[in-house]
Amino acid sequence: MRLPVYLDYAATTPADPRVVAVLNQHLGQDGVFGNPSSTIHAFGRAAARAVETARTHVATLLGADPGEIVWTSGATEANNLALLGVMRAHVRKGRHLITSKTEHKAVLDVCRRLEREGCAITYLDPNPDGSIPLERIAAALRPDTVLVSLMHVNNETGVTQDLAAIGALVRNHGALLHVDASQSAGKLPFDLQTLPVDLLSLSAHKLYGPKGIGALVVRRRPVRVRLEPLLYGGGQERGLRAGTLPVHQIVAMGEACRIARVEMEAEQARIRGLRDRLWQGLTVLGAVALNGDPEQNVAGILNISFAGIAAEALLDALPNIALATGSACNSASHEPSHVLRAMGCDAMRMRGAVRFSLGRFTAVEEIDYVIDAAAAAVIRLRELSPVWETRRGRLKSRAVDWAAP
Amino acid sequence: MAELSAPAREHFTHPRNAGAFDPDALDVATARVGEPASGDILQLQLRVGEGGTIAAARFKAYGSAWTIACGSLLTERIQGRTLADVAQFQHDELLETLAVPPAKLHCAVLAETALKAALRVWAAPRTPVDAPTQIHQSRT
Repeated sequence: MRLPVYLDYAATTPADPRVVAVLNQHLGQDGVFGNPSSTIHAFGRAAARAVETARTHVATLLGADPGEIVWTSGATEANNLALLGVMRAHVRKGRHLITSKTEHKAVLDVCRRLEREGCAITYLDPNPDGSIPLERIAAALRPDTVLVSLMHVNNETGVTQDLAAIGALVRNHGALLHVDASQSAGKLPFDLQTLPVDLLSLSAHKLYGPKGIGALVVRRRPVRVRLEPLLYGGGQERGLRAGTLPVHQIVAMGEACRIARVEMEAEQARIRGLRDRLWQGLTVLGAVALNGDPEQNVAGILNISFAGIAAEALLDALPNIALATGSACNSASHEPSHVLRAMGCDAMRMRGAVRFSLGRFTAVEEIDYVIDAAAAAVIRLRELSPVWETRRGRLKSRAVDWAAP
Repeated sequence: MAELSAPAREHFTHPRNAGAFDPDALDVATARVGEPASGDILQLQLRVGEGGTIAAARFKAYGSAWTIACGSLLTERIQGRTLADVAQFQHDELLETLAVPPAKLHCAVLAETALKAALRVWAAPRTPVDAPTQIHQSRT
């Protein structure tokens, strides 16, 4: 077993060796390095063919048409393009957008920008289990609602939303639905032929591809979604995203999606088994709470609060295990998770929340190692904790003086 | 998260004087203080011996590893000293020894706050058993 153990697959995944091999074949002098726009010569045409094959792999994974895929630098850019692009292109229809308080910052920060451009944004509250109730979306829809943007799988809790029901509601209302699928593509089955989703953001590095590449699916059916580009230049990607296509990253993302489509079902079943093993191993400690819906979730993400201790101390006690508190983007700051806060968790539950995220290369020995190491650390830190002592009923009258100088 | 310094990791991994005395013992002063911004809590107990010296100290801490390390080092520094002597204690001592980064300054300050609170508890007349030892505010 290799130490440290990596259980932060929701932050990023290592590229699959098969993906790395394909990437390497599209960089050097002996590889397919051409500019796909240079179709005047063989180098460019070979590169263009490679890009189109990759486009087909991505589309096939999702049940989309290859012509609906727009390459971006990642899901952050895809989210920016979807939200800014659609809202700016539909000013005459309306300026209202609906999203939720548990979205990734790559959506929430774009919404802040849209507010400064004069858009009205409704931020929906989730249920305590992280789900966004359909009635709450229905109640928020207005005649001037242009777009609803919700993530498929939450990056902190792994909770999934019912896209079929949400999409039907939104489409019936005449608005568009954008879905950030960064955490679900290649993990949950998709069929955009039947799923009423208009725009979908993807990231390669969450599904064993390289960083720096992603895509926005812009549906052409039942209606062709109109959007304003963010970048202007060489007219690539049908004018929606200018810039020379990064062929090596694109083919790598294509290969990652091809592998995901073939292996998803067996892989997710295996990861689900590991997750259940981890959860059962840790609940033995007692006073362990699952954050998020216990049924509607992706297999690879397990968010747990350990009563009586702070997650950051637990992580410091486990230098041989890579874990996350809150989302990776947040762990540099003191801010507690905005996702758990929106779900109504109290301060200590938020402080005690640890995200374990499992993936393709997680082995059962690693899970057993993590159970043993985490259990020992939790027991040790609880022994040290005055909060845990209070929970156990001793010293119960000794209040904390929060205002001591 | 700031990576632990080597001395902080040593104290965090092998805390000195962790645990608790019977808070109702007549020679024990107990203070439990919290740092509102971070939510960290430090409990410090002093067992006061002959001539006003700290015969022993115990601590418990909730929060970051830095708070646990600061609590541990604090107990080590004050044991065997007189109450009058430790009244002059400054958190700077902890900062230097543990190489506390600026972002974790509040952990060291909390340790000093706990010590000052415990000294006040010792100096104050004994309150009836099970009454709060400090005026407290509930956190929102």
